[in-house]
Amino acid sequence: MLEHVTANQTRFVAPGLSADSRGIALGRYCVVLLPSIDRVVGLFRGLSERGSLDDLLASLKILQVLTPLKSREFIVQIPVLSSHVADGVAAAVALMGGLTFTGSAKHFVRYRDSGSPLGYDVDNLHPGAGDFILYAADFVQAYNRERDLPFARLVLSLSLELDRRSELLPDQTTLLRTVPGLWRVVTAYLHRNNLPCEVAACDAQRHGRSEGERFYLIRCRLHPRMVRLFRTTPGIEVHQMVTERVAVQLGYRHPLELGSCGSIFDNDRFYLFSGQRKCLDVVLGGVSFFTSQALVQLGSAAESVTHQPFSPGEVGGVQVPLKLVTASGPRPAVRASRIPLVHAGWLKKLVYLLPPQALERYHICVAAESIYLLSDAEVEFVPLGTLFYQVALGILVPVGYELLPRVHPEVLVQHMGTGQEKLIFFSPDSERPVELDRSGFAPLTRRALARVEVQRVTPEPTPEVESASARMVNDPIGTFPLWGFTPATKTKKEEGG
Amino acid sequence: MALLPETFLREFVLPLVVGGELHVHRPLDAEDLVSLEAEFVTVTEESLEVEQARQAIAAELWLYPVPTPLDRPSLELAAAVHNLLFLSHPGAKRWWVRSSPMRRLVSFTEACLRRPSPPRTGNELIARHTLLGKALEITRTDVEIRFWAGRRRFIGQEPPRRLFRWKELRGVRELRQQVTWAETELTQEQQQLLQLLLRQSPLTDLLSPGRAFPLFDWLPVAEYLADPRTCRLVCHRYLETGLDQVGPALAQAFWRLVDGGNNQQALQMVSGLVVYLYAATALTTEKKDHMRFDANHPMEALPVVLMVAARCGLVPEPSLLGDGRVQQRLVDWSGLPAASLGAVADELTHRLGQALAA
Repeated sequence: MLEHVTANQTRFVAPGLSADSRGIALGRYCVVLLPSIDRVVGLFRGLSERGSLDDLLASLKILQVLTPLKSREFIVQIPVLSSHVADGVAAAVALMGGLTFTGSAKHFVRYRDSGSPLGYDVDNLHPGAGDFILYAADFVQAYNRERDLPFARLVLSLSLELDRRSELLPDQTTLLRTVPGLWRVVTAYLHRNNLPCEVAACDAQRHGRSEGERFYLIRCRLHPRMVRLFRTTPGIEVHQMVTERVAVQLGYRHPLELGSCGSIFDNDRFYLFSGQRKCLDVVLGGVSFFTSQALVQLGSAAESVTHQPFSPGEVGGVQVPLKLVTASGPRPAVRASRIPLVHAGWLKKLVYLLPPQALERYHICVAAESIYLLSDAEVEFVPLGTLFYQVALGILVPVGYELLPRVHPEVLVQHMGTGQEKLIFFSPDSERPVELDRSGFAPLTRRALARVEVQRVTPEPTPEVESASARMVNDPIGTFPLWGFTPATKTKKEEGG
Repeated sequence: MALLPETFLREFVLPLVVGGELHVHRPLDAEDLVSLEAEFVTVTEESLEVEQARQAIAAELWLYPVPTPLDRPSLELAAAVHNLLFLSHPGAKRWWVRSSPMRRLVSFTEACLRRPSPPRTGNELIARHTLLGKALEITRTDVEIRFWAGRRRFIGQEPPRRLFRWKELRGVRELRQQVTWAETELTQEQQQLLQLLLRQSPLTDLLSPGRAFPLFDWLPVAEYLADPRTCRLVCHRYLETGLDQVGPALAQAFWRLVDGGNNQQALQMVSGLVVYLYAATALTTEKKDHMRFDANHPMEALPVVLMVAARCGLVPEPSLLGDGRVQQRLVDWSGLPAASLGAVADELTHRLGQALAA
């Protein structure tokens, strides 16, 4: 059975175990025992998200194994150089409900856990036959190898998962996979929209088919509206590049992080994972793109275009003034407060009570008639004055009111010219809003403190202990100084007697 | 009670610690001690003042925090000093003061001096010294009024104003003399009590080797030199005072220790202290002025002690002295007195050797 490894233990019964620099018992490999293939995929998914798998792939093995009772399980043998790597593996395995073992050849003991921080050793070795003998706390089991599962084949055979949150990044290069009848139309459409693109003809290799299937790849940077258009067009698939040689259909994702295992993809091949068709197109020999300018048919000569100079006129007739009207509904987060100067004394009292976190959050601007208090978060600690909430960046409206017309916040910001440097406070009391510069706001902690009148004190030398000698003065002691002198304390009995 | 507790603290204990007028009143007895102890269970203004004064003195002597509580042993020692001073009070020497209560007073004071256990640690040494450090320095102003019909002597008291009337007519003259109490004519009981008092404050004993009475004796205090911090403090004070000032008293006490016999450990301690004193001097100067001594009185010369200590192998290994120049200077200095002493040097070395071998 297992035995706990103690600190400074250097000799182990299990062959191939040794203590690493932290004293943890570790072999050359971590062996992970998992009950099913989906757990194996889950394990690699977790590992691929934490870091690159390329370092592990050279010695990585995935094995389907048989127990003596012929039940099937999966063993993943991962080379580990340090216990830090093994800890990462063990953490991912724990999530997948597997068991982590460590060893070097045949005998693998349970890797360390909270019960034994330095790992485990065995008291004696299991004599049974088998390719793998795993020692856990509650069992010792021999396993025989049934078949190997190459990691690359596992990765390439996995189906894509639907990912509705998948979106293209701005200026991200996109691949359009089109069937043969559509590539010219698409290229001309892109050309008309002044989007440069490149086109390549590809022959995909599929399992079970000798001849390749022809399709076309168009590489370009799409406008978001075009992405929506192409994704809903039959015969066209939108792919995003994961690595230089791998693309995954937009809206889907591979179960593993393909970027972390780039070494399984051949340099002279191009891989196109399709979620819609649930297949993988592998293009042999790479992909050669050509610019679309040479391929687009521009048609007959266009008629000369007559330019009519046009300048937009003033739209005074349809200008709508902003109005502040009362509003109902949930109360938004309060971001600012306008406190009349007559209430400044209340604010001063409140400053003494505010917690330090709240004090740090507030900025204050003292105007002619009011004090403006601005907070990065909510102004909930200061129940003074008129409370404002932010409808758009730099535009503040009293709580209980809203601005009409209900235009988009960005439009409001552009219209009012606010932003990071300017603040506009709307008020029902006045028709004209108040504009304040953000630079006028200072942290409350800096403004709140009044000037401290200090008294300058010049340091004086440390007073030395007076070295005056004691001078004896004999006080009057009366005629009988020793009258009543008691050398010992009287007990109660003596006093009573 | 002779005095109210706070009055006793303000008028006697505080001046005993920091200096000033030390008022001696009627002697304190066991009941007074109980009252004192009960009074100062809680902190009062007076006790705090005494505590602060003691802390200030301790801070000058010691780098480490020293607890100076006004506890039962401290109160007993303060009461003992008071009673000891009372024995010099003129009121205690009147003919009608009977001898039996005086004996009771002496025995009570002796019990007060014997009851507290002598200090063991450096902190306790410092704490006792903060209380009793000025006991040997207590002075007294004696006034003698002479007039045409006679003279009146007032010991530690101000003469009444009536004695100064018609000053010219009566030919009144006032003679004031300040004396150190410990150097006045003390009774035999007082001398014994004073020696007991010094046992309770060995640091006071060590830091006043040049006193007239009681003569400085190495034997009761040598064991305290085993503590390096205490030894360092004592050496520092001796060097501050000057080896020419303290040297004769230290040397005389050393030879008394040699003659006392069976004091090997104390001899080694004291010899080590003397070597340390000269090694510390060698660190700062190479002049040999401090090595001068009167060859007619070799037993009052500290350089002679250094010489015989070196001859008897009590000087530490040169490597322990660190700097090579210090080593060389110490070796040179220890050889100097032999030239002027001649055969006396050999005799003194022989005496020390015998004392160490006994």
